[in-house]
Amino acid sequence: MSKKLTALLQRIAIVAFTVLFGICLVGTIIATENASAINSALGCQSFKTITDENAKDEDTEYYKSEYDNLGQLIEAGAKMTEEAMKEGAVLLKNENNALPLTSGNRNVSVFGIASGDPIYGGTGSGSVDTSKAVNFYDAFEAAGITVNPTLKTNYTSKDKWYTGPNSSSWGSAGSYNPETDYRRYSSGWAGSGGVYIGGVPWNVVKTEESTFAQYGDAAVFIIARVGGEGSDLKMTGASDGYNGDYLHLTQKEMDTLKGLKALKDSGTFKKVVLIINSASTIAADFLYDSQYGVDAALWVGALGQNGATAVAKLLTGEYVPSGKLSDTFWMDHTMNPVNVNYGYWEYADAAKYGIESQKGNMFVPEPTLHAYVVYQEGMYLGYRYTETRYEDSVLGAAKVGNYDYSKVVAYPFGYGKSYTEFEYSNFKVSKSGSRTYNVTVTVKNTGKTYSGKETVQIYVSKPYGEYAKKNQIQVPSVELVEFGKTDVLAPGASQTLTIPVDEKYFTSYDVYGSGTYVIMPGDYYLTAATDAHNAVNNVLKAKGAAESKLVGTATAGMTEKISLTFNDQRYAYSDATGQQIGNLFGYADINRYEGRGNNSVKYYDRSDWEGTVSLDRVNGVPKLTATQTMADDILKQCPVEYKKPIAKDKEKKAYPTYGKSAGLVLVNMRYDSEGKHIEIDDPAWDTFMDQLTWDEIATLVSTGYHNTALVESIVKPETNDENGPNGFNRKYSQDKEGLATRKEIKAGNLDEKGNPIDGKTTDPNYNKKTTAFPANGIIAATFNRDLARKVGNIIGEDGIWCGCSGLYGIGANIHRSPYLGRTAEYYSECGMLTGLIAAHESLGIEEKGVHVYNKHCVVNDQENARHGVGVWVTEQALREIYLRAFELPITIGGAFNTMASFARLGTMAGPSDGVLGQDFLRGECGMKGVIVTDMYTDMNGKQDNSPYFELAYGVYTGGCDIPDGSGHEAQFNAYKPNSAGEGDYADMAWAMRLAAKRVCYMVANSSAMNGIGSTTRIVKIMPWWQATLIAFDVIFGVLLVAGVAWTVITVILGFKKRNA
Amino acid sequence: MDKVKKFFESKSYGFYVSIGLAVLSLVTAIVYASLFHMSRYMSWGAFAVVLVGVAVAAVLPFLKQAKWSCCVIALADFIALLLYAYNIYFYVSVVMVGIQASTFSPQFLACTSLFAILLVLNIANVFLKQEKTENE
Repeated sequence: MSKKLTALLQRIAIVAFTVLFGICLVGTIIATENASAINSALGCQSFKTITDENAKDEDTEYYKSEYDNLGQLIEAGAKMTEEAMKEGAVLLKNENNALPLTSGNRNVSVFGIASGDPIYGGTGSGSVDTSKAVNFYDAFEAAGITVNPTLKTNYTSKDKWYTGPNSSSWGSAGSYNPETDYRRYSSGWAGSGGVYIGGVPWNVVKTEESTFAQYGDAAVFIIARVGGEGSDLKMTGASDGYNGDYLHLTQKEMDTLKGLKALKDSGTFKKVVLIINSASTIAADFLYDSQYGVDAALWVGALGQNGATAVAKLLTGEYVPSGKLSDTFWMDHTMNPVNVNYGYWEYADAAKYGIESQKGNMFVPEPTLHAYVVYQEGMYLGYRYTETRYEDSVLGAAKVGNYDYSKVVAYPFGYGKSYTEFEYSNFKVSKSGSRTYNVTVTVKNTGKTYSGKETVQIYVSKPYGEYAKKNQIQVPSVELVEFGKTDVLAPGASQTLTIPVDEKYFTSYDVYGSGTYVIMPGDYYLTAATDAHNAVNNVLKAKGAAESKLVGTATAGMTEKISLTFNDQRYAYSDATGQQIGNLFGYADINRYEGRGNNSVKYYDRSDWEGTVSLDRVNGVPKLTATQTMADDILKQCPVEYKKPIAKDKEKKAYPTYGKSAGLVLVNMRYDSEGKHIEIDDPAWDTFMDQLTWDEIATLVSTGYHNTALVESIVKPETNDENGPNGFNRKYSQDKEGLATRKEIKAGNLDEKGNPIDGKTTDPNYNKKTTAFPANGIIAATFNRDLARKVGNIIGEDGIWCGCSGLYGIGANIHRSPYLGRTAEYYSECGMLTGLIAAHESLGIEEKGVHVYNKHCVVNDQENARHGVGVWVTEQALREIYLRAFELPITIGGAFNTMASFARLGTMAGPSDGVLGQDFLRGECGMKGVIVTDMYTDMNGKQDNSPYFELAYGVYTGGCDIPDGSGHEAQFNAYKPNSAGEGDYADMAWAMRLAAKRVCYMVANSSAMNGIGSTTRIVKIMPWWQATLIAFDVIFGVLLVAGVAWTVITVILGFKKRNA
Repeated sequence: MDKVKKFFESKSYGFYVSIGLAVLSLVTAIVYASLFHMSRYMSWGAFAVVLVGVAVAAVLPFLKQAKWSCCVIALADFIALLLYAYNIYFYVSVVMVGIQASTFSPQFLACTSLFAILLVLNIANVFLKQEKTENE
């Protein structure tokens, strides 16, 4: 080999191996730092279990599946998603019985870009698996509807109408042209790059007019909107929304509807049917506008896996709609005053007090320290506003202002039509025990053709009298307190429902008077109604209002008046725990917060609508100024970042015991020797926790990125937790601890590590994903507890089979505004409906040994500035709407865990807030499990963001137990005791131990213990990816050294040769 | 003057590329520091390595070791790139999952592009002739 060639080869070798070694080394370091997250994402096992041969017959399936194989579970899941849509889709309009499409009249033309590209779920954490999803066309055809093939081809073909920029170009400025780009799209994993409605211009669609008449039994127009994590929907500035409004019909949609109306008028189409495929409610005034000619409209939210099948069957009448709106459909979103106050504003003088976030720099789009929003509406959110102001308007109350209900509400909360008619009768209320009112009502199907179900909604109307006014208690005209649903009633059949209503829900939270829940003196009305508006009309009629003043009608005989005297004792103690209930959240109300300075807000006041409600998006927003106390309270949550250290113990205290072996492993902590469940406050847990070392406890409270930490010494497995609110979005094969994998191992199809064995095949469903349910607004719209529980059961089963013992969900935040990005993940504008449905879904999940982390507690009701936005809200509204949605899943559904909100209550970030975590969730509600932060890794200062809180502070206050992140052990080093077991931070050490105990307790009582017996040991193993990376490091390192050595030797030999 | 002339007479085209790369390295370091100095993504180690690399590379020709300057610059720039990557990866992951940001910032793109260009040019330059042979 020539010298030149040798030198060239040496140079190439050194350069190549240097680059490869460097890249591999840095990659290995980064990957190792994030090992638990990678394991979670790849479904890699980080440990293996070894069970004593003698104990192999021990039954370690503590949470058993109802299904023998994945095929059965998948089929059950598909049926359940169909069932949910069947009962949750809401028929808004059905002029001249346009629906159902009767036999022989099912040749239809389907319009809309979403016809071939439906909305199945949300974006981000609400995204769902679409691999098994049924689209509209397939569902329609399967249901016997014949669709116009030309339109189908055009709407689904990239070389026809399904056009748009390349995937990588979406979201970049100027790349999207609504004139030529027709497909809908959400850019970025979380849709934060923009959501595009798309749509084909009518003049283009009309070029296929010649094909319409043959499929003219109906024009079915599907309009769609998607939203999700990371960004709210835009009221202005949406890329292709009408005047920038994402929730208004687009110009293309308006043109299409007008075009269809013209074709209907000319006889081409017999009717126009609209399907609203959007979890968010769109402005619905057009459904009353004759120029658009919509005959029937069906709201279907986001479809989930098999929702389209139900939609098709609803169109044909095989299914009869029984869903009731879980949100108000507004005529026009500018009439919703909450939208004035939706988003975020910035405190004046933030810089003066050192809380101005690094907003505006390259990485931080929104402030994390000095953003705020005022829930100025207080109690008057959604129907609580529309119906209350309506009642005051009808009754001629003072200062009601200019309010025309018919111009505000298109379809009220609870509204929904059927293909048949129902009649209510025999309404009775009887009291049993000291606090239960049993509402009895007979429902009769008075139709002649269709069988169907009916939801009976029970509302209470509380007295808005002197006591309320004196103590600033706000009293909506009607509030949902209960509901019941009939079985399927054949024409002429009837059923009597008895619906128990707890008097507890007659109470109002009285901040300024008794400081607890009170029964106010006066007349209460219980009414059985078809919707919130019908309820208030019933009450108005009972109060003697003239029917001529009513918008809509009242149902006679459906109201009971109950007169009660003042009582501030009966409901002043928690049913769940017995803890006295008192004012807790004064710090969340700017008018009560001790550091308010000169700030004050006029919340909506029923006695002064005119003076408190504004529809002015520019000037109608409260302006707040930062104060020193505010700044101190915000900054103290980041003790290291802002140098406000956590206080040392006030007096010398003993640290917990560490490393004192008692021979206990986690599985021992489920039941004692007598078979009695070991509760979390059992002294046995103290003995158990004494065994753990400081480092083990620090690891337990620092690890939580979709998992909890492995602790070998106590045989605590690493667990898997996954999004999301509409079901796990995970492959059954992903986690080796799952029943799916364990069955395959047992069958000999996989080796003991879960790896494939040559020549063996696994269940064909093994690599499929779990069930994806429709938007939670649809689940809520079923008004069916049993169904919600069954949905939960499927999610729980999915957890057992895929190996997840925790669900980052369900989503229990409130649809405060239709522009909320994550509407698909949450249920309703009503805290009570959210709470009741979420409670039963939680119950269904928990029954399977899968624990919910209901999120995001609390007031994570927007995405914009969600990282740290300060929410100012009255304690009454907080308790009766926003917290009720989290309370009921715990008290009724046994929800184990919550996920904390990014948002602040006042100045207190969710995971910092010990009052919320300790006093409310645990103290009042009796929550037993853990509080996980929301995604923590991007809030640890690494994202160049002003961190909104530090984990150590959250654990210290009891605001959180673990991060949705990993590798934060170092935050706790400063509090470690010395070698003698002493130090100045015993309080912190005990807080850490308590958080770790909650993690252990939660896991011990979960499906994560399936497969772990009394003699099982856990051994850490290196996952394949880590071994591979290290192997590459070694290989490239050795090659680099060899290359360098070769070069050096050559140089030395050459030097010697020259000198010889 | 003769000394300067003689100094450059012995240098090949690769040496001039090295000078250009040394300048580009300094520009990269300055741009990186100016854009990221307030940021937690700033690696002062990377900044320092580039400066040290350029300084050493500048000294070597005067020690009659000009042919090693390109290697020193390349190695320093590569180490700086690795340190930059280690410090910026979290931002990349955040953007990739789209939780908070949806697109890469121009600042990130600028710095990443500069480091990438340096990597490519440095590798190429290592193979270029830095000094003339006696026959040239």
